[in-house]
Amino acid sequence: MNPATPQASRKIGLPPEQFAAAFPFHFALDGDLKFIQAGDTLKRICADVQTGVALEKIFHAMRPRGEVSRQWIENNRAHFFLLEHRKTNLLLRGEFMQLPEQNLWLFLGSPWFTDSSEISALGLRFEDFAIHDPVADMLQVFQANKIALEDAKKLADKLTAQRAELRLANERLRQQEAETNKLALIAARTDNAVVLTDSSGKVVWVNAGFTRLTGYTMEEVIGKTPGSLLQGPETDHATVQYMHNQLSKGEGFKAEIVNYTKAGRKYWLASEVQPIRDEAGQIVNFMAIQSDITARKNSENLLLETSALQRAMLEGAGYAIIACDKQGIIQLFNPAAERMLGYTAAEMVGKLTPAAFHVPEEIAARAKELTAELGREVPVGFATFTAKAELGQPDQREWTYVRKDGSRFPVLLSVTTLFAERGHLIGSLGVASDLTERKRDEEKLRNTVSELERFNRVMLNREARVLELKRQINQLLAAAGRPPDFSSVTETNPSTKLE
Amino acid sequence: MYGMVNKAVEDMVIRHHGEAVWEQIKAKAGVTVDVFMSNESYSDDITYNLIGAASEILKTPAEQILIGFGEHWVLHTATEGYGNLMHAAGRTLPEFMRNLPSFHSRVTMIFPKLQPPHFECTEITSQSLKLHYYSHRQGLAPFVVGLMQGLGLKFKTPVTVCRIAAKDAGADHDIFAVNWSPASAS
Repeated sequence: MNPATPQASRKIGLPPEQFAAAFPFHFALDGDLKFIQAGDTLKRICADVQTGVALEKIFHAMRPRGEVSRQWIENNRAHFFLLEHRKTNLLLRGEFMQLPEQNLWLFLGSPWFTDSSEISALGLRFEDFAIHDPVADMLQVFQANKIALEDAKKLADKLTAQRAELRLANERLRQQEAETNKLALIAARTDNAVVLTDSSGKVVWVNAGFTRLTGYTMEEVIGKTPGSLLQGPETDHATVQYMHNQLSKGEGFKAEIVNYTKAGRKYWLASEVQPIRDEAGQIVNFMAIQSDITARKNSENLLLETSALQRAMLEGAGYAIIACDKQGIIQLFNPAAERMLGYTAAEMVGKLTPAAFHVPEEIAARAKELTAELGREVPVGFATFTAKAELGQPDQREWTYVRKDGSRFPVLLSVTTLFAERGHLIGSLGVASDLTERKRDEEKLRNTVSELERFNRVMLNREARVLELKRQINQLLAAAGRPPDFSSVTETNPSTKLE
Repeated sequence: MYGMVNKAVEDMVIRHHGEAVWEQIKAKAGVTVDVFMSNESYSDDITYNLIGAASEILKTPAEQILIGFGEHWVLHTATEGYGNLMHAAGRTLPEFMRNLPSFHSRVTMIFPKLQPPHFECTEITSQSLKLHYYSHRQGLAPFVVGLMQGLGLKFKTPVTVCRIAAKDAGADHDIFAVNWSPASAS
């Protein structure tokens, strides 16, 4: 309190007990700044505050700065004083009042705390403070501020974490957006038709490819199901039902189906449909990528027809048709071959080479013959059959086949090599006809000709003898002076003479 | 309501049931506040809604939740926030009870916007007192019972709390008869 401006109009003295209760941390000093009295609480906390002990020995001057002395006190009476108890570091905040009548200095003050933990550390209780003393209030303010700061820190930490998450999310979003833009561009520019429907299958977006394929514009199809526009008389109902079931189950699928363009042109469509789900796993869209596979379907049909023709030819042919891979292993053994040789296709295909039904000596002899003919060593074995054909030369000759039962028969075998598209050898094809009948006919013919020749010879001999007899009769008649009976047979007509 | 109250509800739920349950309760209560600031004033509806949602999700009567909350307040919230000051306020239950009204008076002084309850202790004996609870808020009497029970646990002094006057039954304010064992409280 400033002594120059007294406020009270009456002198009020307090009885010592009331004074002690009102100022539990007070102390009084004599003119030499030695303790002559102190509050009970102060004495309990600072046990070295005892009568007769000098202030400077017990307390250190924190504020105002300076050495503890009467001069220091007098010079700073307009300010508050902050004293530090040397032993406990307790800070006392207060003011010095000079009581000249009693020649003493009175210090009125309270402990100064900055944290509520200090009050516990010193063993103080609220009861140790005067009721008017705001120290407890101040401590509660400090504590409330401390808690507020902790809350603010927690909030700041949370915000920092959220910002970090946001940054990450933004980055992910940016990447997703880039990806989406890329995909959108692909979806828009691709030749495939792309259709996006809602979860009920109604179109929400189509790309230009869809319009090119079907003839329908986006405006014409939005809100409609693709099937209601594109399916027609040759659309397979079972496939439509399958697609419908998959959509109902929320599962993706692939299907090939006949559709019709807006102009009514039929086309084959391959469609891959996938559900698109949100973060909660709920289906929000279906996406279909579709392509026109009409050309492929046509090729497949042609292939099927060709295959059927080939199969019919192979199965119906009267020739044995035997195809081998380049190692000579039989790959095809047609029914005629089965009938001819007595083996089933199952016994031959993938298991044996034609050596199984050839005469080894014939193969060896042919290899020798080819070696001489081609001017290079032709090995005995499967290569013997293909050596000429590999050169692109026709190789047709007679061979002897050996049936499963060991019986033999002649065949005319024509060997052709099989080349893949890039010109490399993939195997050979042998076509063999049974020569047994032909051989038999040839033999019969040969026999007939021989018999006829013999008969001819007999006939010619007989005529020669008749002519000789006629000539002899003519000679006898001439000897008898008679003209010859057989004028056509004369000595001068040698042309009639037979050999 | 004082943000510290909501923060305490959050702490209690997370401590006993985990973060996921707290998020459920917050969602059910329609509360979007991320962090409650202890000394800020929030609408009372937030606290009531949180207690209601907790009651529904935890399948526990609201009264039971409030009693548990009162105990949690003393044993965790107040002790962790104001432990040193609580210690300075009393070493025993009766000592502390005498200082209880001042705590709330100071809250009023420090945060004029807050409207904390007001307590008075009368008929103080060595083993009992009458606790007068004045609040403009409804339905929080079980919370006061929990507070007393929590203090009994904190000071290791078995207490019984009995509401002898109820504001919601027409009384001016709630009055609780608090009894404790003199031997353990001394």
